[in-house]
Amino acid sequence: MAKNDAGLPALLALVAALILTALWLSGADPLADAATQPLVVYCAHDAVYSEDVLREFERQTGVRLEIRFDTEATKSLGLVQMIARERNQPRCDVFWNNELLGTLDLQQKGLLLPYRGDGWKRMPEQYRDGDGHWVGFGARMRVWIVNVEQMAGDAESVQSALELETSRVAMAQPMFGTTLTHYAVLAEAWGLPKLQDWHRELRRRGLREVPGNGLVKDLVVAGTCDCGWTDTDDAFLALDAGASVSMLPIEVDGRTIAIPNTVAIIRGTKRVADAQRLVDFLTSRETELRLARSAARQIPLGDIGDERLSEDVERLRVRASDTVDLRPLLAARNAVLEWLRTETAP
Amino acid sequence: MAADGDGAVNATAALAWLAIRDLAIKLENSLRAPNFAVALEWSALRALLIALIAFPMCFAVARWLQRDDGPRRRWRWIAVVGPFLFPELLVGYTYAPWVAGRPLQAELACVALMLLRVVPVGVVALSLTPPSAVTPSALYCRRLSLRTWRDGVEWLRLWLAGPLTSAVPALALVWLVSFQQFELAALVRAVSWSDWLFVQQVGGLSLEASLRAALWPAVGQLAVLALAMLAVTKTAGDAQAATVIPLTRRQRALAAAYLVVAWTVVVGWPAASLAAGLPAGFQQLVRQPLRLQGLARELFAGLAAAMLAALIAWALSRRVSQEAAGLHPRGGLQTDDHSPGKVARWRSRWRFLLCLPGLSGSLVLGLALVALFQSPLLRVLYNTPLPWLVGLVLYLLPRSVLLRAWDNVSGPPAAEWLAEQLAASPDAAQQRHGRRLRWRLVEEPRFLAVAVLTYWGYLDLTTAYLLAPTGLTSGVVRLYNFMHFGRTAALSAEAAVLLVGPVVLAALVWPLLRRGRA
Repeated sequence: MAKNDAGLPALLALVAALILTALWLSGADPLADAATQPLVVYCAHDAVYSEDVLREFERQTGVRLEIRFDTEATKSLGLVQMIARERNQPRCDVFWNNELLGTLDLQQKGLLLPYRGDGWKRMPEQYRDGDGHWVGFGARMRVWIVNVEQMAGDAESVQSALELETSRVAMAQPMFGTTLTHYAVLAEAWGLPKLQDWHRELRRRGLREVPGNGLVKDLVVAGTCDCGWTDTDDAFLALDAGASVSMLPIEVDGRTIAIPNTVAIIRGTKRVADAQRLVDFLTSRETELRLARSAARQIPLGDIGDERLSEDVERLRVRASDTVDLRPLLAARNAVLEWLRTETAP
Repeated sequence: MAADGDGAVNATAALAWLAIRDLAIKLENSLRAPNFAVALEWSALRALLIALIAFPMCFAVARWLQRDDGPRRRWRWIAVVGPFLFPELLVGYTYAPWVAGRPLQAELACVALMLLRVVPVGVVALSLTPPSAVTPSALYCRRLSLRTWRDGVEWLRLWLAGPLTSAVPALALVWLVSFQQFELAALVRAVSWSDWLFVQQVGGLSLEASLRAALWPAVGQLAVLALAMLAVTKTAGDAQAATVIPLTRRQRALAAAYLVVAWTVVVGWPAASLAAGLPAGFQQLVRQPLRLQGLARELFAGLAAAMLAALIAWALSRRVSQEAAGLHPRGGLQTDDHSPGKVARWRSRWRFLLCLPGLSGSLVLGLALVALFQSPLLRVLYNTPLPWLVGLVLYLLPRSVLLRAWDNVSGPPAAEWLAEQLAASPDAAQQRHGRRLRWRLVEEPRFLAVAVLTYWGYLDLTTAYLLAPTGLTSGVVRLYNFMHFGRTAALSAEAAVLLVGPVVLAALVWPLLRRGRA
């Protein structure tokens, strides 16, 4: 690629630039006016489940969507940070979060636009913001996943596993995802100092902290660990695959932890009407049923009329009726995050 | 008495065991929650350990490669670089369930996997670094005549200037690549400065604090990079004609053992895990035309961005590497001024600092660019491919500088000049031979360098995740998302398309390039 041979690299660069530009223009259509540009959705929910739902919205409404998914390791928190960073030039129109507390953080920062649509109206108060800054739908529950070939899948057995040797107990890093919510619930119930002592003690006794809930499930399925904390969607994956596991809802002060998906419109969007349509679609009865009937078996939170659910989901739905109210937990979540971050500060 | 003696021995052994166990627990706990200083020191130390263990393997494999100059050599090269080019994402996901959450095991696995992955890097470095003027026989002869301590010092000086200096580039490069590891360490949950920064920023560490923290590793890497380049130029100055040194039996065994273990552990097992779901995955995929279309978009978007960035980084690196190292371009842009003035030299040395952003890791680089393109002046460009491209160029620049440094010193310039003359001959047959020679000597290694840079850029998750505009998604980001579900059939098929796709494309394009040029 000498000076006299610069032609081919330049040609290759040109071809690459053209392909990149063409793909970008065809995907995002930045030259079109705001009304015809695709609606940008940041989605923290797993692509395997959420993409079908979002494509169905496209099919029904003709509104084009541009979806940005999160990566497993930063599940939800990565996109929350991204939206906060983009506050000066928001790209995202609608945020589908797979939990609530990150959405509350964005609400507190003034980054969400209120909307009280049909979906908002059908949700119980516990799963929506009073002003409509966010609406919850389709929840997952925190559960123990237990390898029944290694131990009994009952509350006493998992409790004794926690109290004795914890090197065969797994959990995801508490700085991320639903485990962070779980820790926020514990911090609220026990107080942060007790949670810190408990956490350090579990670590001292060899608790296996892994990057995500999916890996917790894999470890328990493989028999490397006897039990672990995960979410219902991961536990169902293992059960569907025929693994010898059972799941047991985790209780804090006698109440389960059901973590809803949340959807919110980002302040600064130029596509308010389409964003509202998507919020209504996601929080509709049809979407909740669709999520409940997916492999993830998410728990419908709103009224579903006479529709029948599978036994699994029906059972979870009963348990979710007495669940911790997550709305007041933003301060606890921030305190937990701050503690976990500063524990390893420079 | 004997019983007392046995009891004392048992008690001592029990105490020693308890002390060791206590130490292991303390070490394990410090690895569970390291602060930045610990993470940084540990990463540097681990990288050094890996470099030192890897070196004899690199040496053995490089000699094994050197033995064969026939057509089989290409296959040998493929066998060597395969473990490095196999995506660490898949390697990490394969082994994470076994070791994640067990700090000591995770560290051991991290060292082993990194070691197997980085040996090819050292092999490439050793193969491209010109042999030192101080031959092993010269050193041996000098050692035979050691009489006074001055002789000893002289021998040491020769050893430092000879074998050690020519080993420095390979050691430095292996250290750099090991030190920069991110995904593998993060997946098996081993301690690393890059993962520490990632976790902290996700937890809310400010950009300023992240940048401050990243400055130290970046400066350290820059120093090692400069050292490697100095060593390359030093050996280039002293280089003797390449001689083929016979491969000893032990080296042959080491090279063979490395290749078998590396291919089994780094390529075979992860690929087999993935391949299990491949038939079902492809069946599912062909039934989803929309998904296939999306996959093609992601593949081409990632490849186009990476290739464009690689070509720009390669062009930029010409100035940065050659002038910073005090070299003159070979084959590239020829300058009339072969002895640049002091000011020009300083300016070109400052250009070397352009490598600093890329050496701070793709995460910090990406975050800094997000902040930059969110500023009022550049905000309008934020949602365009430009930030992604800038990020990739800066990320690839230090790697490109290093590849360029070797390109400057490898290969005999005289032969290259003769090939140029031949290509310019009025005789058609001579022209053809000249072009073929030029392709082999000059162009093929450079296109290969750009291809490797492209693949590097294509596999970088963080820049794509943070900087790609809406409308452009790199397949790697999606792959990361899908990994959550373990090795499902859909994931297997998509991963195969996204990871093998670029290799297949390169295999299709390469003969066309060669035909066009040679």
